[in-house]
Amino acid sequence: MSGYIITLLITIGIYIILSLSLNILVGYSGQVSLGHAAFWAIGAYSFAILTTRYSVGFIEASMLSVLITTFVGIILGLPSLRLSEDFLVITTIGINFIVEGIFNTFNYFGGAMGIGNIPFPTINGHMISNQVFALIVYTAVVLTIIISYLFKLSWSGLACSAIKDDELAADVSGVSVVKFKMIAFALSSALAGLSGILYASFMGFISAADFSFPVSVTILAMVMVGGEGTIIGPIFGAALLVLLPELFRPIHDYRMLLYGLLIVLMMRFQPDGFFGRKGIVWSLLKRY
Amino acid sequence: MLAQQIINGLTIGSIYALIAMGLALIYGILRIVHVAHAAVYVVGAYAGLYTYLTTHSFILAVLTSMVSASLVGILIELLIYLPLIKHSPLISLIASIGAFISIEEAVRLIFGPYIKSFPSTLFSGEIHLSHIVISYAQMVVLSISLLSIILIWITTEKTRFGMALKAVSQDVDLAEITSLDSKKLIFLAFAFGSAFAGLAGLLVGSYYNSIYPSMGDVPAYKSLAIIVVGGMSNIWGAFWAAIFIGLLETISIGVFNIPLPRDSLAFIFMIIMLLFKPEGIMELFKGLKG
Repeated sequence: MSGYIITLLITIGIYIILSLSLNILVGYSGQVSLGHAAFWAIGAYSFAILTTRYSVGFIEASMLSVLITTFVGIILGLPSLRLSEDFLVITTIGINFIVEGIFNTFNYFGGAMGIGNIPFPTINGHMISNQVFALIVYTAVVLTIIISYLFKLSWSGLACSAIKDDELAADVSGVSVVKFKMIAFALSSALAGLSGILYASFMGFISAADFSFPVSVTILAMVMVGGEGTIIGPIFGAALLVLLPELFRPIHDYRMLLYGLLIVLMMRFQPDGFFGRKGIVWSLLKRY
Repeated sequence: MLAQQIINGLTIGSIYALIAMGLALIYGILRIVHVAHAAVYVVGAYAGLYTYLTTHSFILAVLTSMVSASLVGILIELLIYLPLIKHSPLISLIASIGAFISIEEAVRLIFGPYIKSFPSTLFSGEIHLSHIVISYAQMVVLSISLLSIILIWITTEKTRFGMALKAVSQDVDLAEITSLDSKKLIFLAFAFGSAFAGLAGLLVGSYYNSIYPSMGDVPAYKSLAIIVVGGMSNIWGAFWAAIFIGLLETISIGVFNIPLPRDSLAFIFMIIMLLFKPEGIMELFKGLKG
């Protein structure tokens, strides 16, 4: 396989983890976040700072970064707990802008220059090949799929889906809304952190602009286009929205225009996503 | 120094108000976070600029920017929001962001990616009042937005149209029973709110003397923070919140040199408000009165 294809596969894998992590919030517990890139950023930045500034090893840094992202995710999730749909959306947009602003402003986080020389994984002092890295990424993807599946079936997952259907009814039936929303937030940010680590390590250089608000829009679009609440949906959405700009490359000038129009048309004619309850895929499958 | 920053803050705050009040009006009726409102603002700015460049009349520029902005607003409502009205508001929100991206890109493809400016003769000059400098551009912005805000006040508070809008935003079904045509009202509300967003685009363009395709990016999301602070569907809350955030930004950056990025201040303030006064800024005033 050529280097281009491998790079593309790795990118798709990183976005699959990211969109599945957002799916836990949006699809399983009904909390819409338009600031998911902020949690991705926190994972990537903690990994970058731990490895470049404090020369922590790759595996230790990865574990610490996931912990840090989970912790920060819980803290940032706190103000969101009491908020209903639209307030939550706008607050998460705000979190994205604030986190990006902080990374962009303070020199500790590299400021506008970003952080470079982030280490690529090594074995016995030799850098591993991109093929092996792709293997690591897809191991993480499989892990994320298993976690998503188990979460959906678990007690917490059931409680979350009750909250998603009707928060008041769930509360009255004795489901602790705050507790389970928090669990969803923590799990979602942990997985976003995992994706951030892989991204930082693969790119070798990160800056605040990589995690700006349009990225959050893309991640949410991946979940919605594929179909929220399913597992195949976000995987498909991530692959589609990473590939589309590549396919549009020959008509480079019209790329973003087509991208925007596609999102509009998609929502207009397939509001449940390709793999959602009323999505086109299931209705086609049922016919045959 | 402080007085100067207050003038600057009021100028920028009154422009924010023109955008945010329309947004609050539309949210009140459709419960949609209308991100594409900022695309309407960009279209208004471009329409006004090109009218000015061909006719050299600022009044005509104001009129065309308002009319073209209303048309774009109406089109967005008819083509995207109305067909999606039965689905969850989240779907309209994502469609709205998609529309925002594509309209901005269409503007970039048609008019080019570069910054365009008004001829330098427009509003050059300034007045000195002891230490304070007020430029003509500032005076034009302040007086036009004051006029518009009076117009919005009369329309929403004193006319039958305004009363009907209030009724629809409180309860659509009940309003329908009392023989109000809610479709027509939504249509008019979009036309009305979008017109002032377009005007705001033109005013920002003439104030900073630069118009470019991505000029809507910051107002798009800052105006959301403003309407949250104002209490979401509360038009006058949006007004006060806009003025307050305009002042907060210019004073904290200009006077106190706070080392935070300017555009995230509105969101930081919004989160503080949500923690302590989630009902919006108008509750704060009620607290003062009581």
